[in-house]
Amino acid sequence: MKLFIKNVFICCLLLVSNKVFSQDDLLSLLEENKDEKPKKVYATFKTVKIGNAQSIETVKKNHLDFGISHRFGNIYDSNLDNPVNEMFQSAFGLDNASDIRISFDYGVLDNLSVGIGRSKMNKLIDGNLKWRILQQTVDFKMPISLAFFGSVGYSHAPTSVIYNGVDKTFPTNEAHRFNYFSQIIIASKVTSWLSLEILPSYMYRNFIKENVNTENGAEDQNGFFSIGIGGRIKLNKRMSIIGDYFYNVAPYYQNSNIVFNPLALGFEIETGGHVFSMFFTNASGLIENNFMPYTTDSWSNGQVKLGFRISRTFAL
Amino acid sequence: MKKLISLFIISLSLCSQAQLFKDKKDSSLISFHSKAPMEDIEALNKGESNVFLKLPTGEIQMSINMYGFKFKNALMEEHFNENYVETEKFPNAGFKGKINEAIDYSIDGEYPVSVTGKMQIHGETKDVTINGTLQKTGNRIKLKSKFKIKVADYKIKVPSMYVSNIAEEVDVTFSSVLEPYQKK
Repeated sequence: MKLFIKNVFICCLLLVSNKVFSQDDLLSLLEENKDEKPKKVYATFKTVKIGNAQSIETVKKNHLDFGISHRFGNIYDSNLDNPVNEMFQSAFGLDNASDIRISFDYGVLDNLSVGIGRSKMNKLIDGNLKWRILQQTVDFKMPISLAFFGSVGYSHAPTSVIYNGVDKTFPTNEAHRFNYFSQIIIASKVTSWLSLEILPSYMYRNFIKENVNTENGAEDQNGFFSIGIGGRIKLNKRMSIIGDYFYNVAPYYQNSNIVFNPLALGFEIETGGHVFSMFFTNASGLIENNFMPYTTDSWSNGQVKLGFRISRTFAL
Repeated sequence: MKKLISLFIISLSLCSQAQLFKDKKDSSLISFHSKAPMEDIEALNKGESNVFLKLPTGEIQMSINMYGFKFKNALMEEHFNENYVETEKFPNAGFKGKINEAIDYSIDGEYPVSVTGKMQIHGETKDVTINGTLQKTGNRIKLKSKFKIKVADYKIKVPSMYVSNIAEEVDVTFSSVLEPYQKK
């Protein structure tokens, strides 16, 4: 009996609801049935680097990113005897190459890439890994993306260069050629035209030369922390303004007149498979292992260089 | 008993006049294929759409989540969303139309149909007529269609250096299994 009543009840309900359906606008039904699955954010940045800093992006699975990065010489250098003459003589630094790096980055998974590179500066060979652990979603339920970046550097410079100017009372050690860099990248695509990043970082060199900051008496340390910020403002579908800055926390880097914090500002142009970044920076190095500890030029002295990176992605 | 009830419901709903069908979960497949000299591009959207069909009027309405298109090549997927269909701005594509043929839907069978209506992609709306088949088996309706979309019609710009990578016309395949709609 109970079941029968239930049946009748359901049937009545159905008849009523059928009537409702026929009057309903289909559009409102579409609204009600909207898919609520979280969607991942695409292209927080266009390529694996911003200017000096790493972007949150990894190379996609089975893709190979071949990159050539270049830093010309200083456009102007107020430390020189005749800086204006030198500026024109070197064609705004175009005659010199502060650093050149050739790199290959391969996507093992869509969120994990490994890379190798070789820089002119310090004759450094580097192996690196970037792993995107968290992925931002369009609905901001996950408001950020998070990645780990680690890089090991090995300098193949002659021993005489490695120990140049050092009172060498210790044996030569292969380990002295290694340095390490690790970083957490926290990024958010705030709007379609604005992406921001924070990069807490740690740099460690097995071997350093004794250096003292004459301003505050602080000695250079093997390991130090640095915090970076980076961002992109998209001007249109293919062009953006890019910039990044690192603040080295260690006392040795405070108010120093030998070492400075790297700042890069410039443009990025995307043309499908190619991404072309062009910017101005005081950093000479092209990989964190070099520019983090060894940025010896300053924006305030006009020691700014034109830098660019061209990358081409191949599907393997 | 539950089966009996549902049977009851089905038979009753069949008797009623206007009836609404919706696509079964994950049954809607929308794929496209772009064949260009340099590159073959393929993507599939599985179940990330809503399809409604009203009988006997034959009104069809659907919305497609553009984020739902999955590519084998993740870089292509990113370019599709970022540079071409601009998914952030236009997350959904849609279609609203009506079956032109007068069909007696009480009889099972496969009918060739044409649907005329408005297609919206990339925020651009265009009047279209699409041919396909409608197969009715009991309480199930299977829709199938194959048609072409001209990329330029929807203001999807392909840079001149990529004209050999992306076809002007993209082949679209659509299929869906519809069942009587149960309001959530």
